Amino acid sequence: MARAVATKSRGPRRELAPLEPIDAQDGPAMKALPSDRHRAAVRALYQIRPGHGANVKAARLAGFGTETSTPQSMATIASRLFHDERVLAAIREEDEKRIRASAPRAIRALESLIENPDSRDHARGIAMVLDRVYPAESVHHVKVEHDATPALRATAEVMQRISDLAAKAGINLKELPPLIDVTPERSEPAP
Amino acid sequence: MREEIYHNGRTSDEHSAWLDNLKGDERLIVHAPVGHVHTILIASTVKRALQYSMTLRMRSDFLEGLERLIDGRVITEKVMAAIKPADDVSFAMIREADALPVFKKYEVLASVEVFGALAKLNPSLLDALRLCFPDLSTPTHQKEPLQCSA
Repeated sequence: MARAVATKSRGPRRELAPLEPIDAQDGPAMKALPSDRHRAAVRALYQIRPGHGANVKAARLAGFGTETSTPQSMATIASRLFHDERVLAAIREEDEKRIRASAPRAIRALESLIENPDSRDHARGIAMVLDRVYPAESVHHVKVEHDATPALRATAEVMQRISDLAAKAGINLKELPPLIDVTPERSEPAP
Repeated sequence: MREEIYHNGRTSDEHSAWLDNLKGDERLIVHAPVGHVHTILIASTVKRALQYSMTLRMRSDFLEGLERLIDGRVITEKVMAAIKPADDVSFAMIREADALPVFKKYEVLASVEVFGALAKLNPSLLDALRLCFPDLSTPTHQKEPLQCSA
């Protein structure tokens, strides 16, 4: 028996209200890229399925190369593009942005986890939350002993010895020039 | 009469006559052992080095070196205290002698001419030598004979 499919006309769709313009701002590294194609290439990296050839696909998606570019040419273009220091800085900036933007979803997932007692990681989820709310307190007893006595005593002994020796040799230490109290440092050879 | 050269271009007789005619400090310089004369000169150069700024360690090492020069019999603390630092000229003269072989250097530095010149620049050298050998300035035959108690 054929199943009757109810078809119900819904009528014309209502007009969508115009979106409030969102003036998204790129970060300084993205702004510093030389062209929109570069920015598009960076964004494309997050759209392409990761794996072998992802960089080439992202570069092609951003408009790099021509229709006649060989795969080898595109590979060269993509390699140079994604090893450019400016592009690398933009990728890092974009990574951070996306991680920060993922935080609400991560928190929502964590909330789901702790609400579900049957979950295998239920206890771990609770522990994570509690660790962040009430960090485990640990008391470190740091015993600082300022034991400068041997060095000071040694210096005093040396000074006393010098004083004795100078007296023996008939030298007045007060008439001698001041001591050089510096640690020698290796200097760069003169060019 | 022996005519062969005995010492320093002089025959034995000439040398004996030269020794007999030495007076005061000349006699002292000639008869003082060259090692002790050299020790006095070294002390003056070390004391000169101590006049410069240096690290505590270096100053300590120099002073230890000076102490090692004191033997307690000839070079006493009093002698060491009497020695003044070498001046620029006498230091240059001593440095010049360093180019000679060791024993020749001692001989040259302890000679009447060189040590006498050094002593004119730094009279404390002669003062120290007099302290070391108070009896050498006077010829043996001019000394009073020892009084032996009966």
